[in-house]
Amino acid sequence: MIASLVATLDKDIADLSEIVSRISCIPGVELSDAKAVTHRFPVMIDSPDPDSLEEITRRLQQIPGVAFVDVVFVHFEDESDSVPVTPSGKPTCL
Amino acid sequence: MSRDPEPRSDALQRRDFIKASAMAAAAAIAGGTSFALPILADEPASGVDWQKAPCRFCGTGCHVQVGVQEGKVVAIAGDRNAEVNKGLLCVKGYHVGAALYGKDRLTKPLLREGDNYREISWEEAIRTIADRIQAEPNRFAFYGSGQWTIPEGYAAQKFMKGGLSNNHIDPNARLCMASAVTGFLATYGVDEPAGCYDDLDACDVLIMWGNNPAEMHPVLFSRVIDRRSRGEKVTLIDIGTRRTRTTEACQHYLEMKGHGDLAIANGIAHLLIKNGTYSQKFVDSFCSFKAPDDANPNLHGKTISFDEYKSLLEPYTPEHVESLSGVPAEQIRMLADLFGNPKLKITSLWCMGMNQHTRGTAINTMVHGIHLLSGHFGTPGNAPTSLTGQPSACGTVREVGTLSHALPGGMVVADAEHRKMAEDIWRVPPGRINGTAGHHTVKMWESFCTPTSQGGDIGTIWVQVTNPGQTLPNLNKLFNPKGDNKAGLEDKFLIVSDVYPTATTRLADLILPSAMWVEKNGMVGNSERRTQQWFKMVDPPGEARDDCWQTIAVAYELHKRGIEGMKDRDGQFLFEVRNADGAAVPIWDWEHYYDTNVDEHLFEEYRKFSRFKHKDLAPYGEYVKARGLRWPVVETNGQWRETHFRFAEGFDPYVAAGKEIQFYHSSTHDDRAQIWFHPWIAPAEVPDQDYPFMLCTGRVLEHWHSGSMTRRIPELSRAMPGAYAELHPEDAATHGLRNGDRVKMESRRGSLVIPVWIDGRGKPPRGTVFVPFFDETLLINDLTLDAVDPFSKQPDYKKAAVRISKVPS
Amino acid sequence: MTADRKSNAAILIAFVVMSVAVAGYFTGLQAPMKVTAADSNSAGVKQQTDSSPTTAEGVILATHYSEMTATQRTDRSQTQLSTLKSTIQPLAEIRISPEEKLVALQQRARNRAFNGAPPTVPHSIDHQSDTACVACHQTGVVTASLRIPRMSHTFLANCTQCHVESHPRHLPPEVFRENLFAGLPAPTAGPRAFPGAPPQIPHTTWMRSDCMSCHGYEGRHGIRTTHPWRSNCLQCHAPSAAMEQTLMSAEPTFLPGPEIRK
Repeated sequence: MIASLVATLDKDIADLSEIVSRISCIPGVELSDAKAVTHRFPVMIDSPDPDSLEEITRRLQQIPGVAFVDVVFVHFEDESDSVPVTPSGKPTCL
Repeated sequence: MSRDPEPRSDALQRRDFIKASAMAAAAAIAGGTSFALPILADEPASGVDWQKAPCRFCGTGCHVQVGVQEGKVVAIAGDRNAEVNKGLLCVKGYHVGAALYGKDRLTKPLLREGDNYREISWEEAIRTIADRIQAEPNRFAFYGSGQWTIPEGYAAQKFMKGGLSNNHIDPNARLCMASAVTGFLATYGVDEPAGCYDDLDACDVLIMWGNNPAEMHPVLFSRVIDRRSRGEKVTLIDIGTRRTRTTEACQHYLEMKGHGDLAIANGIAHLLIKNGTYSQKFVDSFCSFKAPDDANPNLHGKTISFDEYKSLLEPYTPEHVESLSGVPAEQIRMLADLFGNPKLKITSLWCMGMNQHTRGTAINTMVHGIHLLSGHFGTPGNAPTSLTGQPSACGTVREVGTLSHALPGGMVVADAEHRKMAEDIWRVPPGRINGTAGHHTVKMWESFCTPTSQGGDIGTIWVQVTNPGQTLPNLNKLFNPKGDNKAGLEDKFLIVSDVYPTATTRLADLILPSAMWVEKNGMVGNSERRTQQWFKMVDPPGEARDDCWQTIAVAYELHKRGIEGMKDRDGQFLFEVRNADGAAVPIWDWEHYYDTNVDEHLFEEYRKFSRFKHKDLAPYGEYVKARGLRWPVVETNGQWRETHFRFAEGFDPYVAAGKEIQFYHSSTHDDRAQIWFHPWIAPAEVPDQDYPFMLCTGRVLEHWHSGSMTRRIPELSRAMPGAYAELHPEDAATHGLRNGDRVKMESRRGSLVIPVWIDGRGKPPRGTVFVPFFDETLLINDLTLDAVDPFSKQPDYKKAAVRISKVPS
Repeated sequence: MTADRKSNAAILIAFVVMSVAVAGYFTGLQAPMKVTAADSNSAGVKQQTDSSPTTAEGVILATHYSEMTATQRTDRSQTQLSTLKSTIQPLAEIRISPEEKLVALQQRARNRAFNGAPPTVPHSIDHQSDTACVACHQTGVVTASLRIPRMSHTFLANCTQCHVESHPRHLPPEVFRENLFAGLPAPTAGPRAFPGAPPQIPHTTWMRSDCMSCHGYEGRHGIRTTHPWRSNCLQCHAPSAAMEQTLMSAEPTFLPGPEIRK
């Protein structure tokens, strides 16, 4: 499943980079190339099934400093149609 | 999980696409991380050369950046460094570059032979013109234009008045702003507005008198309504005879009958005095009063006292004004209250509504009058300002003085002292300049179109940069004579320099292909006294050549033939140009015309005239650097400083310290401006039983004047392909007319079959129709009236009685 | 949800349409005809229940979650137009990416059968009176959480003559038959004479005389003008006579040129 969300951060956060790196460490999550210049930035999720999509969304919400997560776009497709998520190329996360 | 390789790769592509869509959707909503729309994406990264030029079209004087690539104009951008337009243009300006590239550009001199033309050489063309002039130098006339560049107009002016001792030179601007000139002269003793466009940034109230700037001067109009978008409070008032796009943006719309403006102005003055809200201080310090002298009608009139002025205004009560103008008395009171409030800054704008008026001089002086009477003058935002329709109606016609009575710099041929000064600057023998004014436009064409045997004393007219075959009033009388008048015109000869075939070239005996706009060097002067300069950027097509060169080449041909007038006091050629080494440059030879900057030579000579009426111009080089400078441009401490507001201390360097306001060219020589009274007088023609409709003509946003350039630009032509008659829905219903039906419109002078557009671009009130004049195949000027203002000799294109009848389809 | 595997192109289009429809669901504008997704809460949306209707007018305000910002989230409880704080910033710089433009056009297409169709109404309406329509749409407003477009035409009294509800709430989506009508898509841009020239208006201006309704502050971001303080739009952007049926002559006519004897 492919979905995109908008993560809204708390206004008073000065350094976004830590949050950004925590978000990008979640498997299946991609961030826009553009730097987050405001407190809202787009997130794209590529997940094998609805359950993991929910799981990723929940993890996003639990990151300290993330105020809201809004789903903007969800693409549903036949299970047989999907391509396995390849988390290769991701930075190693602790 | 995919089943075979090929679908898998499809699936991958699809996934990529979906991912991209997903990211785009999120990015869009997150906002702030996006990129500007790449509107210049197709532009080649290099190879485009950008240079400044003022726009070719109207009198606003916007600067554009012209993009040139491989010898062609390829793009136009608004010039952000230009104070006039601050980077903005109108749809005509954005497409001005395409005006050069109409497929049917004239590229060869053409001589009429029977019903068709023969291509001839430039040598033959120049000889043909010289033959005509040499044979009858006093029956030759030059009909020019407010689109003449300053050097072009100056060369023609010098050629005629300083060379041929012939004053039959007049411009199309006679049809456009002559009444504004007489209005300024009668009021201030010197021409052109005291204010400038900066007033539009400062005014609290903007009154548009018979003016539709939303379409005709859109960049200026935007300058005001953009202020409103930014939250500033500006009250816009439209006084007009039909609803227009301007009306839609105005808080108040005062719909008047033709000539209602005369009554309205008097009504305001009446109330200012009655309510005691006029500015006694301003009037006592800076003004005198005048009324027309019926026994001796001229621009000086007769001086009257304040009490006489007051009693002359007595009848103009709001109720009486309502009956004359059709504008409710309440709205007259509203205007008087605005003018009576000294805290408000009021700017008036007008253009053709007040100028194309058989009482044009009167209404011009009266609008100045209420500004002076109420003291709404001389501070930023307080100004009566007339707008011009052509890029150099001010720069060339009014300042160079290419009018039948004028000399450069505000001088006149009737004044012996002025003639002497001009003869000295031109270095021509004393007595060279003829002291009698030549024919003004309407008379010139009447004389040309009247057989010689019946007193038609003009035999040859040379037309440059204008299209009188479409724009003169009452065209039928001139060019479609009936019966006996048809004969006897065989000896007349019409020479037309133009860039495209027009309604005028159709009448021509000799057609000369001209260079236009950035195909040549140029200088122009806009509505706010701003003189602007540009350089040639591309070559003209085929054998097209500069109008200025054409004039000089004919002068040189006459010089070669030994015509005395083409020599100056020293026996040199009138247009002798020498390079830095002192060697003569043969500028009459096209091959050498651009060996030197002829514009600069002519301008530097012309500049000497500009001191006389304190309209000082800077050296040519200053204009090369600037996006135009507003005269008087005066040198202080090595800097050339322009003047924003004339006659006002602190702005105008010619106002003496402590004077506050000084009208230093006052016609009464006491530093006072004149506040005129003029009575309301009915239009020259009013609807009656036979011709029950009032016809108003005018322009539309997309097309500039006679449309010879803009109609060849696809983007503009697509938007407004042809002329139409605007009609009120009820009038249409009475005549059984629906949108698109064709009507026969008839006046006492001519008729036209034209499609109906109910309510059209504007919305005329009942009993009136509006027809734009841009369409060369639907000549509304066959119907218009040739009655003129007694002082300015400007015709009234806004009021003619017509009748309409449905043409069965 | 099964896709037709016969044509790859068809699949692609089908997915786009479906994606858009689902996006619409989550952006709170329109309920899709069929939804096979988990409900929005499970997908992580902090969805707030639609605020109480302004019963006086009998209308439920359209909710547009996508355009909420964090700072204004709490303002969602405000339901009176007059109490909503406008977020219009007249001088703010507007930058629009091509992607945003595409999204705006897609969103816009969701409640229009074709380009030029009167938009259907994405919220409940009062079928008896136009007063409620006018209350909001006469002027339009943009707040942190709400975008109410202004009428693009002059006031016409019978709103529901042209504008009907997108999804009548008393009918389940399943009862509708599918329709293969493929409406004219909205143009993505008007033609330009040359790079940098202002684009010509690529649609008619009939019923769209108020350009700022869609391209102004109340418009969708992706199709907003980058220069909203300039309000004399037609000064630079010319309409097309071919599209404007009110213009009389379809083609300009010219006088014949000079006949040249060779």
